[in-house]
Amino acid sequence: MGTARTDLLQGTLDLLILKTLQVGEPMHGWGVAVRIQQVSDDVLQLNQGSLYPALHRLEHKGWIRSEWGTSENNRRAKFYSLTALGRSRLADEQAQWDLFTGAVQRILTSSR
Amino acid sequence: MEMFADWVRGWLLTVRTLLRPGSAWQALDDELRFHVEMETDRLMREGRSPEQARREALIRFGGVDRFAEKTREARGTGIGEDLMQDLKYGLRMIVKNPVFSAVAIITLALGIGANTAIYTVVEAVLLEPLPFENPNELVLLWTRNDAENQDKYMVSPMDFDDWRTMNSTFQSMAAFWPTTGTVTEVDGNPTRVRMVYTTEDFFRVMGAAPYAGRTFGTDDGPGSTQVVILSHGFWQRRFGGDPAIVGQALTIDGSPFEVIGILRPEHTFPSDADLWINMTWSMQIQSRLARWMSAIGRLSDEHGLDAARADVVAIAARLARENPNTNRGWTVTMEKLHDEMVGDTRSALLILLGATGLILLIACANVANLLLSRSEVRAKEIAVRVAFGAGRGRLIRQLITESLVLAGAGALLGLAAAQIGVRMLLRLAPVTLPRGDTIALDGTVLGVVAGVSLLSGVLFGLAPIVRLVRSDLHSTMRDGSRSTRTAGKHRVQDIFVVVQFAMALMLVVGAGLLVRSFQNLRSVDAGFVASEVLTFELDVSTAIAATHGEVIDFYEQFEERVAELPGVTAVGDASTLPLAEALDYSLPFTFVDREVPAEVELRAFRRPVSPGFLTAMRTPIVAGRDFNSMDRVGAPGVLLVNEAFVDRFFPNGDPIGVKFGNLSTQYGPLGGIHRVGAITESEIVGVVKNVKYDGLRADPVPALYFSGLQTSIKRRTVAVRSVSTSATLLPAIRRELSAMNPSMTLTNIQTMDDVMSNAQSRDRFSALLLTMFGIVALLLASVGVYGVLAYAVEQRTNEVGIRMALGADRSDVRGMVLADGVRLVLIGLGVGIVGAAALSGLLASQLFGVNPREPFIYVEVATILLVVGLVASFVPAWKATRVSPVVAMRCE
Repeated sequence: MGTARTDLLQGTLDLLILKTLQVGEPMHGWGVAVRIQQVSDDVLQLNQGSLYPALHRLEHKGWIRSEWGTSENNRRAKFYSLTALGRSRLADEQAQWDLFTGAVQRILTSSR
Repeated sequence: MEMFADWVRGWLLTVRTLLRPGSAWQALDDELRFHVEMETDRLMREGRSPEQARREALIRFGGVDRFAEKTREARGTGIGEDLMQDLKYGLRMIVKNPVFSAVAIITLALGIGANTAIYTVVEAVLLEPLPFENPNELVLLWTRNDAENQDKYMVSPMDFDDWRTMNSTFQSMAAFWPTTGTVTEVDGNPTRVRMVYTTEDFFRVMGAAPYAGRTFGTDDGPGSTQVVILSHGFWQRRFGGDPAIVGQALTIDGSPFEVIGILRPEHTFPSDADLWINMTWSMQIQSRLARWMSAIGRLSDEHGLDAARADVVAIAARLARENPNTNRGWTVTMEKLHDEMVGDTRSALLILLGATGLILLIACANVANLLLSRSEVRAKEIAVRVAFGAGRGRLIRQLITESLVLAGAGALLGLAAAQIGVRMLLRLAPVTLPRGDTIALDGTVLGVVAGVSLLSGVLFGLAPIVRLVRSDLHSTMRDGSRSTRTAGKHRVQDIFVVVQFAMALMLVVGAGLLVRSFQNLRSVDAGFVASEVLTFELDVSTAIAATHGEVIDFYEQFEERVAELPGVTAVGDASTLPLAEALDYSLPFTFVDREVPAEVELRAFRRPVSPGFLTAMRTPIVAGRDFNSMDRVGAPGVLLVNEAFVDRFFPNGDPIGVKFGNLSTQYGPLGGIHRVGAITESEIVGVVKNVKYDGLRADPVPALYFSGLQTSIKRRTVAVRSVSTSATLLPAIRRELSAMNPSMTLTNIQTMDDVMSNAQSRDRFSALLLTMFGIVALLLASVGVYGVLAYAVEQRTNEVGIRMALGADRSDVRGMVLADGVRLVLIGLGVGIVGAAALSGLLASQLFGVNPREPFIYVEVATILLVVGLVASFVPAWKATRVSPVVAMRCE
């Protein structure tokens, strides 16, 4: 897996979006994309087109909500923020993730 | 709570997106454009040229094409272009899936067609107002005698006159008397017509204005000259709609009548009347016993039906007190004209309406089921198209177009089916279906029914989109048809199948009950043998036979001539033909030297029959003898009585030889004297088997038979029995008649088989229709279970493959699929049996000799449905066993 662009595991994108929005400030889609890239030190290069279906899916599930606002460069943009339901789901998803990665980690360490 | 609100908001968003896809996609487009612009700006800040930055931004976004399609869409161009494309695509989908399309279209067509046809008829019969002024105020009045088991009986002129003058709850009241007459054409050809004698205020009571000329006025009452009003239909047929006829003369029964007016086409009361003639005789004629008129009244504004009933019942009670000999036991019954005209048809039609409602539900469930099953397949296709850049708004439009193309085809076919259906209903309908000739296809009804069907089609056609909006595109694409996460969707389809079978069972049970009832009715012994008997009416007018003797001679000679014709085995006449809806008179009688308890009212139906009639009808004589040619004027009076008469009046004794007092009675102003005057005493010479007169369901009533050779009735029905039905018989009879008198004509020609068939028509109609509905429901339900199972098998190809690879037997696999189907069918049948048992009471009034909860029929029907369900399940089960494990595994 030596590529710089690590393919995201199925479902991981949701977790990343929720986590990014957990910071608090409402963010627009581009901001979310940039933030994920920055925080992951450019390891995670999003296919930006796939970000929006995920955002909309989460919104339809009621985990995040959106609002139109003005961006830092005075343009009309849609800002997303986490809902109470989303916060609770994030906790669950994160726990799942930790469980999963922990298990993988343990396997990898033991086999060494 | 807050979390629940979040969840609800998510759903609302889904609904909003579906309802207003345009604005949702506009918003998405704005959002995406913003993203690309931000990315372009960022790349420009990193030093790219504007063009380069924009291209790179688009590439990073994940596809120039996709973005292009979205922008084009957001600009709102190409809608017409898209529509054409969608239509083409929709048609292609229909052609590409012929079975799916045919089933969906036929299902819709059946649902729409059957419902529109039935509802059109129901609306026209039950809901359309009568063509009279304030029809709700019109009430029909009859006499009633509970001891005599007489309901809705006629009223005598004297009693009617008292009702009319003594009541305080009616604005006005009129009497009428429907009868028949002969109109003589200019060339001397006679035509039989239905004419109605009415009191002069009849048309004012009805509130019916004339089409031309005038109706009867106050000057046309007793003592005036008789004039005639034509029905619109008769005027058209006879005079080709020539308005000059008003003021001219028409020859009726040999006498000239001035035509004073023509009625509007919609005035068809009493039904099928050709002419109306004013009654010019005084109401104070005859005895109160002479009950032969019908009465109609218009309620005062402030009085309802109950007040009016109480009012006239009190008058009748007073008349009964004052005239115990003629009016004891006689009271009044009344009903709104509309209710009476609709009559028994109401419950039959409402049952049909309920049945078609069930069909519509089944049809909608079927279409929904088909579309839901397909949505599983389509979801994958759609996910792929989204991935290739198709906008969701575009997809929604396309799915709607597809559904509409499908539903439109179904609606068109349904329209045709409805038109055929209405015509078929009217042809099959019992002749008594009121106002049948004015029924035309109802646009509103068609619109509503088609709308409901289309809506269900469109709604369920959108199922793939709902799923897409709410679920993960990628997982849909990857899972494809394999997933097991669609268990919830199956539950919806399973419920549809259960409901379909439940409703089908209810319909088929209803059909089974009606068919059994019809069979019972067919096997009823009517008291005669109907086959090979030809009947027709004759009316010997005064011009032909002036005296009683001449009337009797005419019939005797005519019947002798007919009896000589080749093939004829018996001939006879009767004043009233069994089951022919003719008037059957019940009148009092006295015994000469026989004591009867006071509470037994001596009253029986009077049926004059000639010596050959009972032989011609093959009505058996159970004791004593039949009439013979010696039982004529001048000989001792003779009578036959029926078995019901013996049961009522001679429970322990032999009636033969018992003598009656004078039975001579005159009834109707134009009806003859019942017995020839010289006979003052009559003796019972025989007992006749009970014969059904007032419908096949009615219990036998006591009846007296006079000898036709001792009766001077002028209008009689002649029955001719021949060895075989022959086309030459009728012309031969006509030749004999015109040889005797060229101005006479045969009317109301029908075989006894026709008469029987008419008597059964309503039951046959109900049984036939409900059977048809039952079959349709059964077909739709089996398509439903087939569809669901076939789809499930397709979905479980993988599972089946693994099972078979692991050594499962073909029969195991088959059993597994069959068990699924049978489980659904059984649950449906269970629910249906409970529903049918609960609803079958509604049918009780239509049934004859069948318990609405007859367990045998339920078991029978459930077995049939189970077999059908098994067959429908077997095909997918058999398909499942043909899955090759290798192919199944590779499907992964």
